[in-house]
Amino acid sequence: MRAAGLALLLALAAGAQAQAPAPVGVNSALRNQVALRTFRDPALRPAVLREPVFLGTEVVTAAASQLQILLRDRSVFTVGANARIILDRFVYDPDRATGEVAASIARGAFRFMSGRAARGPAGAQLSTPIASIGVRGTVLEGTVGPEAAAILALLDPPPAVPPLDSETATLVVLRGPGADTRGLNRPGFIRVTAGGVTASLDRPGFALVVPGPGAPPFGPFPVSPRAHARLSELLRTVPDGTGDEGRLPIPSAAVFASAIEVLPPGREVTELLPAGADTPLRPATKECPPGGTICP
Amino acid sequence: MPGRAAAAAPPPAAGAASAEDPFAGFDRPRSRADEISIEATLEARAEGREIVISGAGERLFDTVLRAPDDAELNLRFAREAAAAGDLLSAAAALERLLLREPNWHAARLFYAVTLYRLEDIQAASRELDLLERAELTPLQRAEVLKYRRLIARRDRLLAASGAVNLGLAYDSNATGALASLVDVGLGGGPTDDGLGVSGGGRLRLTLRLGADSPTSLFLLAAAQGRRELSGPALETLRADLALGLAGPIGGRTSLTVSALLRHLTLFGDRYLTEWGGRLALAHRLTHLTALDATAELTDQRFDEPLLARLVPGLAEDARSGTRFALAAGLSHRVSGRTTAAAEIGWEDKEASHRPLAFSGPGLAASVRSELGRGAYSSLSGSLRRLTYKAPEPALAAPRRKETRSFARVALGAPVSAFTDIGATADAREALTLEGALSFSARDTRPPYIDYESVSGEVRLIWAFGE
Repeated sequence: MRAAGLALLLALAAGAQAQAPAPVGVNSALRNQVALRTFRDPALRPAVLREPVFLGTEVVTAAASQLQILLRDRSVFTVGANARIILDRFVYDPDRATGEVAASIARGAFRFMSGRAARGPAGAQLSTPIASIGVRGTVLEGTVGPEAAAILALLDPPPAVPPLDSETATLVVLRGPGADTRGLNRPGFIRVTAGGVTASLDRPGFALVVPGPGAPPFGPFPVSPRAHARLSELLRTVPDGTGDEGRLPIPSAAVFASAIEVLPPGREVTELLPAGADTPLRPATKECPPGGTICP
Repeated sequence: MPGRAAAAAPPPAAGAASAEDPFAGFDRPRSRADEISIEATLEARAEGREIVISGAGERLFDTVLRAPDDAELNLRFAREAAAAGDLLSAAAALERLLLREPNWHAARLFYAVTLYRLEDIQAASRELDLLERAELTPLQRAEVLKYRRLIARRDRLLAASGAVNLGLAYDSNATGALASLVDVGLGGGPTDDGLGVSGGGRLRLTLRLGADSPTSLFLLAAAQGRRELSGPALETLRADLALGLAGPIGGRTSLTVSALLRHLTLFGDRYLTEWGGRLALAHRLTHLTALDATAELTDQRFDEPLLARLVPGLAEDARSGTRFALAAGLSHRVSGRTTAAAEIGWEDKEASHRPLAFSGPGLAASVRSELGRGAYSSLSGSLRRLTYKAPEPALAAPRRKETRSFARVALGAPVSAFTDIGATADAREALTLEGALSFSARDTRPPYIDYESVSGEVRLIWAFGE
């Protein structure tokens, strides 16, 4: 057994000399000024679309700039404006659809959409200088640094948060999926640990903030539309023209999104027991109680 | 730092695997060991990091990995992911498109609808806001307004929803249908088919107990009637009224408590009135699977002068008594398009004339699939095994036992599905045309008479507020 193991190691080592490092993802979309560096090439250089992304890649963005990284497990990292982020860890077994993803956010805006690796027990872990964010089946976004205070100031009413550290204050917003999502993605859930305290988020549109080093998470509190719009400016685009410049037709968004449903998805069971179930009176559709992904 | 031109440097041809293509092996199955890059792992570990990748990928996603800026590919991927229920992948693909083309308003609308389906309502609202000044087609503008209405409705404390239906129904054994309805068990004379008109509606009013409260009061009113157009006379009307409270208990369980009132008339005369209560629990096992249980207790009051004339000495309310029913079931989202459910139960009915009392188990199951453009198919059925509690002295027969079965297959589609685009964002999306075939049977033993009927129906259903 030991000899076989040694042979396997030797074979793998021999193969390793010929193998390039495996990319964990790709630069899938970028806008304006984005640079990156890897542990092999420590100098910052322009990010290129379709460029493979390797573990340890550090991404740096300027104002009004974004980079979307598509990972091999379908996780998506959007690095927003004025950000610096490092991809730390990627473990993925597609056959079992489990694994781990980890990244460090030093500053700036970020958005993360869980892929299949995050379905495992370890899920995805994002860390900021003062907080650790455990992610399960989730879309989350946030910012580290001075923008956190600017966004909190737009809440209505502003929460009574302790003074924020301008360099490290961490704002985390859960975006979804909600409990009533029409899709198959698991409803979102986040745990934020800071200052020895763990707080959780399970409602879309709610946020937690970690004010500074050693401070526990504050919240959750709802994010106002204005605050959401401010954060979106760092992560998403805004049209600058009225004419549709799309190259391909999308005649109906509802058809493309499979959103036309004449009845809620769920059960339509012949009423089992009431009088008249097998009579000429036709069977009824069961009512869905509120709050269910599926009915009932 | 580079500008946009540098960022969009000439990419390799989409999907073309080459020696330089780092994703060249994505679409061929590989073992876990094959996938481990020793070099990458060792170097990453030196940096305190770890990388392990294994297994095979999925072809369309692999192609997107190679050409993530290919608009047509991303659009197709987004559409397929949305249809399969993977809304996160669909949203991510649309974000890629919008990062590259912020003025692709149709893609932004697709993105907003996807966010709505993800229940990220705030983000969906923001995208709809951005489309206010955009030049859209009339249908796209109507879709913006439709989703604005849907979002506004979520904030209302009082909500109304319901449906109205009208259709034609044919029964191969309409005579037996009436006899089966009144449950004489002796048949209804010579078999004769019949065509009838069927119609009804339901209205549900829901009042949330507070702006942030998930608990609500509800009132459900429903009525369904049928009248013959040809064949044996058959005129029925059933009305249901329920008033209750529904809300979560814990994070995964919801409870519904309601008071019930049901009324059934035959040929305009009261046949059955029952009232009681119903308790329903639904527990979410996973985000795809739910377990539910119901218990219902009602007091039934029958008025059957025909039965009293048939059996000397029998009172008109001989069938009256309490009815208790328990059921438990499981529902599962099999895929983005298909949901299956199954239920087992037990019912027990008392009657002042004991030979009319019965008890027994039952089961029901259904499969429903979305076919695109709002079209659907459903297959449902139930089976009940009833054992009556005493022999009928007037018939000098052993105790009555019977099996009642019902199966129904239906195909439906909103009227909008028949347009070129498949959507209208108006009342045609709420108006559904449904056709169904069903089979009803009662297997019993002499002197009681078996019953079988094949039925077909076509109906229009207008739903509102859902």
